Amino acid sequence: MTWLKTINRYFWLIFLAVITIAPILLGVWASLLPTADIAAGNFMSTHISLANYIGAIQTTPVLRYITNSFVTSTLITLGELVFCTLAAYVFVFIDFRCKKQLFFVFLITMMLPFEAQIIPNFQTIRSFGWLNSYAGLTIPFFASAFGVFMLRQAFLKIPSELQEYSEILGMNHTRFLMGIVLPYSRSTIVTFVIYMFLTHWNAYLWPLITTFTDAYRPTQVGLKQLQAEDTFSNWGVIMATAILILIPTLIVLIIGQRYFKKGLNVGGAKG
Amino acid sequence: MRIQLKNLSKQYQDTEVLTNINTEIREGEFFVLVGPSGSGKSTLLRMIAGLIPTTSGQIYFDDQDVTNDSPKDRHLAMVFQNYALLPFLSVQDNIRFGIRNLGLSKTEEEARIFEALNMVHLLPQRHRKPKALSGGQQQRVALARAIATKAPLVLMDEPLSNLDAQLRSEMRQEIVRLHKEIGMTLIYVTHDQVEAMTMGDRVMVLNDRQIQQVGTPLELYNRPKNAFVGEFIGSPRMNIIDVQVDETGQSIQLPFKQKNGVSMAYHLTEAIPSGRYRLGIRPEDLQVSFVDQGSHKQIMPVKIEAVANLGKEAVLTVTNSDSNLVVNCKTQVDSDCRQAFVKLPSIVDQLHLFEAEHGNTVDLSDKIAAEQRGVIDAIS
Amino acid sequence: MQSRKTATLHTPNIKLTAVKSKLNLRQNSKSALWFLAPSLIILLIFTFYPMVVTVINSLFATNVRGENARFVGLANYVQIFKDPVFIKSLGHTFAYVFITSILTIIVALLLARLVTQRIKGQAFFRTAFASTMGISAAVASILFLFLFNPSVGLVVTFLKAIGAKQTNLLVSPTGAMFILILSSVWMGLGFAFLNLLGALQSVPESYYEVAEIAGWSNWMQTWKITVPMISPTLFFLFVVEIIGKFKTFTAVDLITGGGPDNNTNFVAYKIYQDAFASHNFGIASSEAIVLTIVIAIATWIQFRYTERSVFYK
Repeated sequence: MTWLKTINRYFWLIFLAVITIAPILLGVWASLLPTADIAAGNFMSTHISLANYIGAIQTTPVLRYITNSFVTSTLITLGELVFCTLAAYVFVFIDFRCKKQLFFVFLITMMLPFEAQIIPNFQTIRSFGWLNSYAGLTIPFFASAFGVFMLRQAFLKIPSELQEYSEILGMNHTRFLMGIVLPYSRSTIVTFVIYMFLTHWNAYLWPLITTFTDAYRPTQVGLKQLQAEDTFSNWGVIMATAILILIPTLIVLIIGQRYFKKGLNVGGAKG
Repeated sequence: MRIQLKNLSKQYQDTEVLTNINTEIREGEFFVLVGPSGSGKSTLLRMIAGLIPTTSGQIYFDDQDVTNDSPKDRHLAMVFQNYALLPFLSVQDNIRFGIRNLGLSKTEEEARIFEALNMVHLLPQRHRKPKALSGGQQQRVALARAIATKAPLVLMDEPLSNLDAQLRSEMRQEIVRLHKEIGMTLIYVTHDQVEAMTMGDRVMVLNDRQIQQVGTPLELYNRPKNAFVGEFIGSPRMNIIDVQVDETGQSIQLPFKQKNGVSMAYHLTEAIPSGRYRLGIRPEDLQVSFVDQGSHKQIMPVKIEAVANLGKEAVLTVTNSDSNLVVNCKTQVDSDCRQAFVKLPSIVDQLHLFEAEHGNTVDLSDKIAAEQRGVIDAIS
Repeated sequence: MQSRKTATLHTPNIKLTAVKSKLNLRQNSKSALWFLAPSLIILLIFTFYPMVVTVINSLFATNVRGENARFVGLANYVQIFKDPVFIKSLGHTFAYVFITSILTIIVALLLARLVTQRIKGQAFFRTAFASTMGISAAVASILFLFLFNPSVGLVVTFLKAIGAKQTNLLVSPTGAMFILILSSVWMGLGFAFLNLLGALQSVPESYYEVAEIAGWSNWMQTWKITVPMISPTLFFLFVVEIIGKFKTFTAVDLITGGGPDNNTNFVAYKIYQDAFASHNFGIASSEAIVLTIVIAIATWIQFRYTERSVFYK
């Protein structure tokens, strides 16, 4: 009776796991097959090779896209970390008039979809001369209400005695922030960095509007570019490109897994 | 370091937290601030530390007004209830962190870390992170961190209340030993009167925003200035009995009856205003016996409501004429026991008479005839 | 008397003392308020200013050069709500959002239930079910485009094998919608799964032990213990899904292009097209305001009823 139950359970687990990872597995499999075999529907082909990857690197600007994404994601994440840390610090450790009101202002920004702001933002970026540039891709995202909330949650967990202790030692704000607050919130900082990096690595709409050349085009939009070009019929190369784009994501996720789980519920607030 | 508090007060918006605190803490003294939660003792400690600004009054360190000095200019060390260790630093780095601002030479720094860790017996654990240590060990690290600063004044805010009972009594001795060895002035906040009694050279009892009494532990125990101190110090708690002083002003009438049904009373040689009072008698000052000795003016029969055997002794809850008393019995008591006899004390020092309204102590020692001084009659 | 006087002198200080604050550093350091400036400046330029401009744009008719030509009041709003394409867009967006959100949560809950108990290979299954988490909408879209490609897609091959007539799902309205929903559920699965797993695991074991002793059936345990205990997470996920899905853009852009016949022309995509293909900023802006209202309401509900502690602690 019990072992029947167990077998039943395992059947479903395996079945569902296969279904869940099937799109990725099939993508990886296809990326290893010659396009000719794919086009012929010959999925059981044994002509496995990395030729598509070599082809993708040689014939498409995928490495350029990855570099662009890496630069923009890193810049935004760093900028966001600095800006959000400073703001969260003030909201947790400083008392001032209108603190609640100002916090509410931050809260409101989470209710306003970026999609509704793209037209004026596009015009702003254009007037700054930042179209098709790293500046235009990164600077608008340096502030994040969500990031402030996430760090604020972590900072709130710091015992008030540690602030008192820092006062007895005569530490100023910068030293308290760098010497106690940030190291104390390490795991949230890591979660923050991973979350923000992935979010911006996966960004689509804004780079789609503001980049015109491969010199600045990041990965996700690059993928669309490849789809639009005639390489698209070359499924093997396309799949290889998609997997190449996916690899940094997986690396970041694996590195940060331990921390990410902890901060996940906080991270969930954005969705 | 000698500390003087002059007319110190603290208000938050409209709420007064401390009113008119005046006291002096002597050089090298182990000074305990004790009181129930919300009595303002932690606030007072933080005002001394400079963490909380004062509303009015002055604080002097060795005759120097430090009222408006920042905490770091007061050259003190503080030990917190939750230890306030930095979880990301090893034990020795935590101590180093605490003395980094002193501008010591590298060798001096290392020497101090070594010495402090040695004093709290944590040298073998110096490379560990705080999380890898027990609660008691973590508190030792916090102590070592304070010791290493060599500050002439150390403040401790309920440092033992996160520890279990066994560890707490161990650490009590440890802190007393460290204080003796180092000789700094130590101000120690606790809500636990046992800690106050066993550790302090002098104790300040705080309640309801005000100083209730300052004195040595025995002074507080023997001559509480008011009902609050009487009740707060000592375990089990002092019995507080509502009594009536009759029109003559010389008879304290108790709500108890002897075996023959005669009401009990204490007799005074000198009159006090008649009216309602509260009489405090400590459980250990009541004698209990299980043998009927007939009618005696000091002895009453009681019904035993509850027995708590502590091994060597027992604490009994008894009643006579619907009034409860807690009695400390020097022997074990059979928990089936229902009946006993309690003898009220006749030594004036064991009777604490308090005004009904404010609870202030009424001095009885001069209210009895000279030849009887020290002894009071229980009469029928 | 003297202490009274000093007390009055200190009154301004007391005012600054907020409820929790007791510390000098907290109050005597207005300089640290500059820490807020960088974030505020960016939010001002790239969130509040554009929001205001969008509202203004929505009240103007746009000329061929993309400039606000003339004030038209609410005419743009009247126009979009008379526009069958926008109404269709709104309706289909709602349908897509709700179906996707509910499906994602149901499937994720099922998966989470399956791995809550201690079993061999637990870690593997968890990783498998959570694996879709970091995958971008663009990559997911390409993967699904491949699966459903009419000439080489595996699903299509499978459909052909079982003798289906219509194999190019992308040309049928329901087919296109189906692919979008499927890819969207797949993408959201990892996140919902991990959240629900966390919620399920945080239900104290003792609750089930008590129920076991009381002789409750599995069914009763699920309904009386599990569901109430994880309902905050369910609700939280639902709202988060709605907020996220309402902004769906990438999948539409890559998989269906809004088609066929505007059937998957969701609001965010329509705004983009009206703005950057038709350069009709007035219309696009009023559509953007409609989107904003929906998102704002959903976000407000989220703030108000879920994870309250996150925001007001």
